[in-house]
Amino acid sequence: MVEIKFYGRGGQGLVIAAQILAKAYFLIGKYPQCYSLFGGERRGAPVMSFLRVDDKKIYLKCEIKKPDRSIFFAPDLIDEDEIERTLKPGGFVLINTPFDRDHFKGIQGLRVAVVNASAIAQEEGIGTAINTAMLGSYCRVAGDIPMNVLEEVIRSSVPGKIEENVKSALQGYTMTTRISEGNDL
Amino acid sequence: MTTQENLRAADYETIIPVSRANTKVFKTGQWSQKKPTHHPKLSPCREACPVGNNIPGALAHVSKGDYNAALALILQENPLPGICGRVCYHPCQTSCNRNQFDETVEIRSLERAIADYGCATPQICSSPTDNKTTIAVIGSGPAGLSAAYFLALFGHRVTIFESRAEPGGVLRYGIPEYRLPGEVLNREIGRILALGIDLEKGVRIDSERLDDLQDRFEYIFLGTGAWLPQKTGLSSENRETIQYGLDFLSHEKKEIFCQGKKNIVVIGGGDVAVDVARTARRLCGPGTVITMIAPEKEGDFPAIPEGLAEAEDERIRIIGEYQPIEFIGNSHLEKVRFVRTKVEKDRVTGRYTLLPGDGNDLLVDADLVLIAIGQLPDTGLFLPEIVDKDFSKVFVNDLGMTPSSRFYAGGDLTRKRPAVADAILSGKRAALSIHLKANGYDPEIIIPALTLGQGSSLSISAYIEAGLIDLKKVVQFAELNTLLYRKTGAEHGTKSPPETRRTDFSEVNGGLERKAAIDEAKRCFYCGSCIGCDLCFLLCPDISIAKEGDRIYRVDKDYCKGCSICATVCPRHVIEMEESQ
Amino acid sequence: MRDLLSGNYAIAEAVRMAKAQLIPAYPITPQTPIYERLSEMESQGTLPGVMVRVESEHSAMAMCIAASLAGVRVFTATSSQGLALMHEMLHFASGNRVPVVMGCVNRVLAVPWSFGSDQTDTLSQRDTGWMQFYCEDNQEAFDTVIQAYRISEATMLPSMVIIDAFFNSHFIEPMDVPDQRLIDLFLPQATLPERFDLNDPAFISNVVTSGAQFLPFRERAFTDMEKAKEIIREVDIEYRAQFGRGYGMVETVQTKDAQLVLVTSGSMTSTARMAIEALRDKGLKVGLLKIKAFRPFPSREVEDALQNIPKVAVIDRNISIGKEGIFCQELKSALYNSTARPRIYGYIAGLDGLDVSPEIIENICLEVLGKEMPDNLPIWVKGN
Repeated sequence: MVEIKFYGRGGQGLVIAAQILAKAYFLIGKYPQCYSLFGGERRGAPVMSFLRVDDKKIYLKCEIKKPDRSIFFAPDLIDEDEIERTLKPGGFVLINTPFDRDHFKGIQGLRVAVVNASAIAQEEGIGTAINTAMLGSYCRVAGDIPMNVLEEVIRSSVPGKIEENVKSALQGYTMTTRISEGNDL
Repeated sequence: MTTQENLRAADYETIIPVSRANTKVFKTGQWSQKKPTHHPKLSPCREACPVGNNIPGALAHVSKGDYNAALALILQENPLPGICGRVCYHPCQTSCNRNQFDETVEIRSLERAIADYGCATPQICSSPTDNKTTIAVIGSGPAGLSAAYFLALFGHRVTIFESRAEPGGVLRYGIPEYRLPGEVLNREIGRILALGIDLEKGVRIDSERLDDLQDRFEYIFLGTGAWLPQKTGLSSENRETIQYGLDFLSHEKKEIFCQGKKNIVVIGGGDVAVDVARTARRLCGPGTVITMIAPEKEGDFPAIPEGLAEAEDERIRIIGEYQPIEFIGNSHLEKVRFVRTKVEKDRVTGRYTLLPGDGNDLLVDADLVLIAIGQLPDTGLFLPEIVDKDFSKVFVNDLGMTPSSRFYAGGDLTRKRPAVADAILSGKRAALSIHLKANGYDPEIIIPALTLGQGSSLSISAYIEAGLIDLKKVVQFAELNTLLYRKTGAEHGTKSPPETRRTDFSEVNGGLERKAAIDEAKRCFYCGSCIGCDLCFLLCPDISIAKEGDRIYRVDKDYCKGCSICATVCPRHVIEMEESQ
Repeated sequence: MRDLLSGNYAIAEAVRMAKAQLIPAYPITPQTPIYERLSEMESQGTLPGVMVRVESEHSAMAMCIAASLAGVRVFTATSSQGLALMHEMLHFASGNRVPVVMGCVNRVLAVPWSFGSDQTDTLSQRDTGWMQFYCEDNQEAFDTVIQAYRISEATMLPSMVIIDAFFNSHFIEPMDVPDQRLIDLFLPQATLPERFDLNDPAFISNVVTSGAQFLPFRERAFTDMEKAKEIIREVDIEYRAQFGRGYGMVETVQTKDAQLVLVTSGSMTSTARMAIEALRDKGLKVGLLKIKAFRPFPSREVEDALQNIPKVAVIDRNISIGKEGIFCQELKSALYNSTARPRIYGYIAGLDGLDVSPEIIENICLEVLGKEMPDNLPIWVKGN
């Protein structure tokens, strides 16, 4: 079972991102379970989404405390101590940031990938909706979902600007800097 | 599936409480002290209306688009609705309760709409067993027409004697066409004559004829009006360039009097003066200066304010607080000198007196002076005992009867308020008196009972449908439940533009369109009149008010708990709580 | 068909397929997505019934009662304060024996104001005469709505189908959505009695003038609720035959040889399954009893499962202030007259959706195994 945790802020498309990913895993025959945590819904408030993926039925009806994969839509929400403490061995961290990997010195010894999803979304004209760029990037880093499956789910899931979102996902995939234990892959 | 089938087969009414009995055995209203009664009352507009029109009733019909029913109702009280709907001074609108909410309902315009759009024949209101008598009506003005109309409706034999070529009196020869078109007048007089009234035109009554009429008729109604001009008493008043109100208006040569005149001065501030000025305006062309001067303050002129405003629109100059003291000029009139004046009302007698005011004299250029300061009746013909000592009027009592018991009189001849509606009232009152007397009833008891509220008007329908409405209780604004009404402005009729009016005698006021009149009628509060809104029926928490027909509700006293919700919600104050017996 | 649905959407889908004819409802978090999804279906023309936007939950239930009395299959859904507002009408529904099915999403009652799960809202309605079914996951929620119509319409008793806020209502999981044709076979169009006859007017909910008149109705409702247990079992067996899934009024997991049986309800049960597995792996003889039907209370099943078990631990995501967890109380009373009744240990956990992880459950079990006598008062579990 793989447990994935998304950190971001209301308006970045975090909830939809987890659902799109769940659908993609569902399409390739996995058993996904996804949910989101948000209090009084409002733009800009911190939001968390969760996704579990397994080959068989998942019984757990509780929060993900120790993720395999942590995806940060908003880098200011990064708590380096918490990541070091909770990330499972063999997991990775994906961060939306204009900086390179070296910027995150506090998480030495972990697999960290960075992508400037905000710039991509701006470029494609979809504003703060960085979720599709992040998902493209996720596909690249995780390597367990084919891009054509992601594209298919994006096309059937996003409410508007479909081509821009698909392009954004492809850009995310391409522009990701994959880093393993501090070294370029 | 046996268990499920067993339960399905159960009689469902055994598992829940169901009652097919009813609780009517509990007569829950028997303890209550008070019960509601539907009790129609008088509206303030109707109390104020000299004719006593059932205004809320007629407007309720109009609000439903039923002009015919509205006219039928109006014709119970008013023989001349198309005329009153145009020329009345509408005291109804002054007393309208809606004034305290937003603004008055345009009752006069609505009466006109009813008369113009409705179609109805007056209802005969006599019974076959009534005694029938014969009456001569002298004069076919509003008073005479009114007396003849109601006498005919009571089944009496009426003949009208008119000295002029056509009937109508002041309506035809005094009120100009731009206020009252001839076709409206003919329509309304035609409807009256169609009741079987004989009309003898061009018959001037002299003393010999009067004797003859006394032989031929049981009663005589005098309605000859007031056609003699009141004069100023100033010297050199008797020249052709000085004319008098009604004389001028009915004069064949009035157009010639006006031709080529540069400065016309109208003296007087009443409706006749306004009509004189406006008629002159239409005859003399737009270049002529017309000035209307009266002793009253501007704003206090006795004329109807709308007429004065229309006169000003037609570029008639209006000056108050002056009276003439000298006509200046030798062979031709050149100027009139006025002095500053003030009017004082004597608190005891109610008479007006003119006193000198502060200020300089006023010298006004004039090549024609039209004097309209009042009219006097010609009483020379009548028996001395019914005429006052200076021959200025015929005496009548509160029953419309002169001191001579076969003679009745009304209208301007009796010097009451010189308005069409008041003349109609005087004719109606005399007609009812004659009818009652002819049948051996005492008018002195019955007529006061039919008088509306504290006013002077009289209801014929109340005589016929005795007791249906309380004629003494007038609904006050504070008694209405206005929560259901919304504030809206009144609908006003169109007027022809002042530029075209100055040369044209066609009617100035266009009246209300059918649709606008319906909207305006819906503004009426229908004070004191049930219009079948059903609120009492719908909101009774004990279902103790039964609806038994249009505007017919029955309170079931066995179940009414006397909560008074119906009386509280009634928007028209028809329902009242009364001690139960 | 396999589909990815949240618990709320699973309920909405079941309502659509059950062909509820009238759905008066009022939105409240976390039930709102049920309302939204049904509205969406209605606007797309795929909802066989009609939705009515009412001004309150009280009115929603009033409308359900009236329509159901007229023979209409109805549905409504609510949560928390909405359910509390509806309370008066819940008695009217059961008193009038209308087979209303209602979706309830457990959420805390104010104050303080919050959104997480707490079963106290539905458990507060324990004595309203409604059947209550607590569901573990989205699939069960769907299946239970379909079953509830069969059960309610057979017993003429209303039922609540209950899920947890968030762990069910907003968890998106794969589930089976059966063929409409099969649903129609299992649950045909409603053939409810039409209890309004214009030609023979009657007053329902009328006054009776003595206890002697009143009592038979309560007694009858009680008897019918008892009979409902058999109907619930039969419907579940039939459902399992048709669709391959069934739940029973309770479910036991490895209780035969257990030294300790854990008792849970709702979404927490799924997590508990993992905890039990882990404990068994460690060689501890621990079992699980899931209580699905709360009203009617499955006393016989509980007794069968728990007598002769030395220890029982009950985890309640609810609290009756002044006593203890409500499932714990019910369990104790059900077992009181048993010949060999277990010691019962009460825990309060997961209020307002506080996380109940497998580790927490394992720790509870370990604590109980090492403890001779239960405490008098429940133990509050505040986190890891």
